[in-house]
Amino acid sequence: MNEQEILTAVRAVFDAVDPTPPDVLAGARAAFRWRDPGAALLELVGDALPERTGLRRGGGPRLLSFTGGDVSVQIEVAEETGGRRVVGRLLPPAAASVRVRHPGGELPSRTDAAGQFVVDGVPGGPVSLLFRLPDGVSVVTSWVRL
Amino acid sequence: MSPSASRGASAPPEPSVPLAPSRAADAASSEELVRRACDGDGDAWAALTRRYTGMLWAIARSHGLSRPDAADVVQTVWLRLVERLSGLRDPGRVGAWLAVTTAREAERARLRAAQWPPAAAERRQPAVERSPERVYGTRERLGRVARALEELPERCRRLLRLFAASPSYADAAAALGIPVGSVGPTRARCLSALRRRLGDDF
Repeated sequence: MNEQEILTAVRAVFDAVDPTPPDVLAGARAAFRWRDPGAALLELVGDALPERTGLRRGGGPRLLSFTGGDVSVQIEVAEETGGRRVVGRLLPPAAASVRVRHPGGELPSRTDAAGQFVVDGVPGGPVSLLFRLPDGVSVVTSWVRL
Repeated sequence: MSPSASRGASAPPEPSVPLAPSRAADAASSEELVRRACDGDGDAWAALTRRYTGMLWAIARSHGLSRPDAADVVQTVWLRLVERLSGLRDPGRVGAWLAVTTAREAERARLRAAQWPPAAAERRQPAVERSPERVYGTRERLGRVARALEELPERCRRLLRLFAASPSYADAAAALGIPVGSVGPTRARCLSALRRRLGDDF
């Protein structure tokens, strides 16, 4: 066997003992449906994991910050039974529609005049927030794993 | 609500990922596939996912993630590519971008799993789902390769898995976090260790 044949065999072995699950491939393809070239991207600039305090799980909320251009978003993610509670703030403050996007669908919400919002029951896995601002501009946060 | 409902007014009404994609795109360069996907070509996107998802899975699993965590990481990485398709600095190096992003996300996920053992325990699964013996039978050639791999040091086994799953040297280098120039020698060293265990008659 030459090198290439051996590597092909190595690949076949791992494809057999630990194959890429079909739903992972399907999810990769389906990711394209979330393409929204008109929305400005807010990059993840901060992700503070909570310290583990005593025996309590989720000792504090996880803090995530996103920013792009003049807009930034800060969210706190708290683990709760039945999903996660996301409490956030859009800066500069504006009344906007919010959609928490995840591979299984979307959860709608709105910010108040101070730019604050709350969304309950957010599933684990990849999540991105889409904001439609009053002037018609859309901004999205980069996808993060909750 | 379906994902397609989130599209802006300028987007086409239907998701452009076809149900039965043409495989013609599989022959195109990754750079061309990225450019076509930027223009909304779902076939090009599907071809990218066929080309690289196996490598991303191998990277995530080599970081010791459970299958559910690895699945989340791979999905997150593809979503990250979707959001920045038109902003990629070098579309020809999309494979390296995917590999580096996956390795970084997998490392984060591993640290989180270690930090939150209760959550990790719920999702823990054995690293190898099926034993090579059961998959191939002991007399077959692939079964011999599988056993030889199991005898290798973990580092070489991981290297060979990533080499085998990477479409190019540059992708493998990115997946492993080593310079492209060291890929060849490293690969050769692990391949000869594997050959020694396979024996002369193989």
